[in-house]
Amino acid sequence: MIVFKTVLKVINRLKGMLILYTVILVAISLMNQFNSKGTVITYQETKPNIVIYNEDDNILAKEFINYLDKHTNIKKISKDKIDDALFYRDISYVLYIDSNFSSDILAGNKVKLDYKSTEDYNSSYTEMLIDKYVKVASIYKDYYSDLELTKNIEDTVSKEIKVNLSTKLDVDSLSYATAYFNYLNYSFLAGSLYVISMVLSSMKEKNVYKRTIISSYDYKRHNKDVLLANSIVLFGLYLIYMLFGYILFKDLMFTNNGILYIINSFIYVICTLSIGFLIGTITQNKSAISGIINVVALGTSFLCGCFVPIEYMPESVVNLSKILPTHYFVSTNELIKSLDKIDFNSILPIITNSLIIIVFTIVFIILTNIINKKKQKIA
Amino acid sequence: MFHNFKYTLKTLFRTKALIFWTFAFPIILGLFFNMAFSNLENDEKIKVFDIAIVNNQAYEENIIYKNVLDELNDKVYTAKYVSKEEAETLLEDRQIYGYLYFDGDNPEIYVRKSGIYQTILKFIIEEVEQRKNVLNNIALKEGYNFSNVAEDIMTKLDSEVLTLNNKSNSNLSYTVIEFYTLIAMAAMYGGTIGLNAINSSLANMGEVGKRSSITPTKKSVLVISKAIASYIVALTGIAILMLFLYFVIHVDFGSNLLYVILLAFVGTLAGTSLGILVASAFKCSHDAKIGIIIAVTMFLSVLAGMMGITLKYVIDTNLPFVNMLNPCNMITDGFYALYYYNTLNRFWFDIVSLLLFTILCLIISSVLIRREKYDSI
Repeated sequence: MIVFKTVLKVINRLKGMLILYTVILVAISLMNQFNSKGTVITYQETKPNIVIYNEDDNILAKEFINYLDKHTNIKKISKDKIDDALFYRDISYVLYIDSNFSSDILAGNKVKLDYKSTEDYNSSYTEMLIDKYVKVASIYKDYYSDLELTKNIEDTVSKEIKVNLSTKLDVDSLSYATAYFNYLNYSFLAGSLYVISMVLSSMKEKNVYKRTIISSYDYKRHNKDVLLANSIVLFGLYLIYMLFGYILFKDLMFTNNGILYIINSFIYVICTLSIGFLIGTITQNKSAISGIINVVALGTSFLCGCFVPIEYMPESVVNLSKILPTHYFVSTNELIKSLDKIDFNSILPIITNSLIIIVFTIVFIILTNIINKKKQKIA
Repeated sequence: MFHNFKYTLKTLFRTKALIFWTFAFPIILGLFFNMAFSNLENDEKIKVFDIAIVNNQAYEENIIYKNVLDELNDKVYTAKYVSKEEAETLLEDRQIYGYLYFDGDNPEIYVRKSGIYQTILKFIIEEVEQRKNVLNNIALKEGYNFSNVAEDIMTKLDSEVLTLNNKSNSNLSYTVIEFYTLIAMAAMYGGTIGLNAINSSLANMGEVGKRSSITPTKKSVLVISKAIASYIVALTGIAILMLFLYFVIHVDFGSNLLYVILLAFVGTLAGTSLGILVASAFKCSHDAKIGIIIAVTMFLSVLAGMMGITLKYVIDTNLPFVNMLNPCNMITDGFYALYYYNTLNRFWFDIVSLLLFTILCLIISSVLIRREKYDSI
């Protein structure tokens, strides 16, 4: 019990950093949530953010802007700020309508429009919208005029067809939950590496270590106490993170998907515990530890798609990440995100991933034991 | 003075933890950024996307749709022609963005979530519907020969009636900002080098400090030679990082290479001065001072856009004075100005504010350090 209490005392001194990791986790998740549009279970059109500078007073130009307003979010940004807004993707398209716009259409001339764009899919879509309106207007101008013209264009371009959303999953909330659980990789790894390696380096400080070895207390029991104390702290951390999960995502955590997230994180937290012990055994140099924590926690997070979704990453990086347990943790979270119903086929890849994480854990434990034995012989 | 300068250089280059955080860590982080972000912008360009079309009898009989959709296949999307059940399975397995199903004459789209490709699919199908509507409307008008009109309209629909003239700046890659913040962070981390050097000449910070305080050499000579040595070490770190970013990761710095170098010099100076300020202003342990620099740097880097460029933009537009006081942002913004803008006004503004920051730090430090005397310590 003495050893157990000592370890807890050491960890108590480290709580500042643990609180910091937690604050970062919650802050980032809240920032994600902040952008959320709430629960969405009906189909919604994607509306690009655009800016329009109009110099044409004709009704045709006004109707054109009304049409764009239905399919995009038109923002008001002053001309000197427009380049920054484009660069930082606040908007994806700027359209300059000059005073000849309507007269060119009515005269059958080719319409010329200036624009600035980010050249992404939002801007391509905006161009399609513009092109459609101008085309319809150019055809109708031969058959209708004035109000009849704008009314007919409006009738035609507002013809809509039905879109059905074939899932009852709350896709948006699940995306935020997945991002939260993916980000847990950083918190778990940084937390466990920090706690365990700091504890081990205190316990293995030359004089303390010598005193421990010659004491009458069984060394194996000593090791068990250290392991137990560290594990309890990490599971405490796990429970806190799950509680935050509940606060952030509420009822979602009690659905099948939510429970699977909780189980997946549990399997993974055991793995991070074993990584913590492995690294704590390899080095006891306190000034090296902070470097290692950052490289391991940030490295796996970047490589395995915790910060940037895996679908946006180059294939070579994704393939490389398969040598790390984090990859399987993250890909399970991604699978859970789109899990509609639970049956053998849908759950099989999740089970496979979990088994791989468990194998990693066992390998890390064996490695730790081998290194420990070698180091003991030297001592 | 030279003696002191030389030994400060030697000591600094041999402090392993210092070299790791200021030299190696930014490079490692740069590698991570590159792995995660290298594909991000390509994925935002519009691509040919996968859909399915349910080829039931209603679809086969709908000649207009069949012709238009066949023509667009492999240009805008790649379509699989399947039964409704197969389409549903494909959608569930996320192999397609959506599928098209004809219920009699009415087309319907099925998707699993809202998104840009789903929106474009809807746009395309609506366009066919709207073309039909154009033809019907005009056919109803009296006095026109339908077959002539139809042909005329179809040619018009397929002809180019619009010229779009692109006025955007050519450099639009926003991921470069992440790498610029990395340089800014490394420059501020360089503060730990300045801090290390100054601490060693402070009597209350250790044995070396005590010994240097009782030497006949003037304090100003000691501090200045150490500051210059740490500036050179920090500059070496920044140079290695920038060469790495330029030659290995191929980060675009724009075309004004001389200005880029000037900014690196001034930015590093700001970082070193921050270190000198922290060393002289705070009366706490060496580790606590390092902690202060790292915490301040991380916070300022995040505000400058390290964890997502949106934050920089939001602060730039809503709280511009916050980022004008933030040296990390001034460095990032300077690189951004060189990369994105054709004019240099913004760049010079950043340089001047970095210089002001440096002068302010150095004045405060010199007021705090000078005439510091101990009867006993």
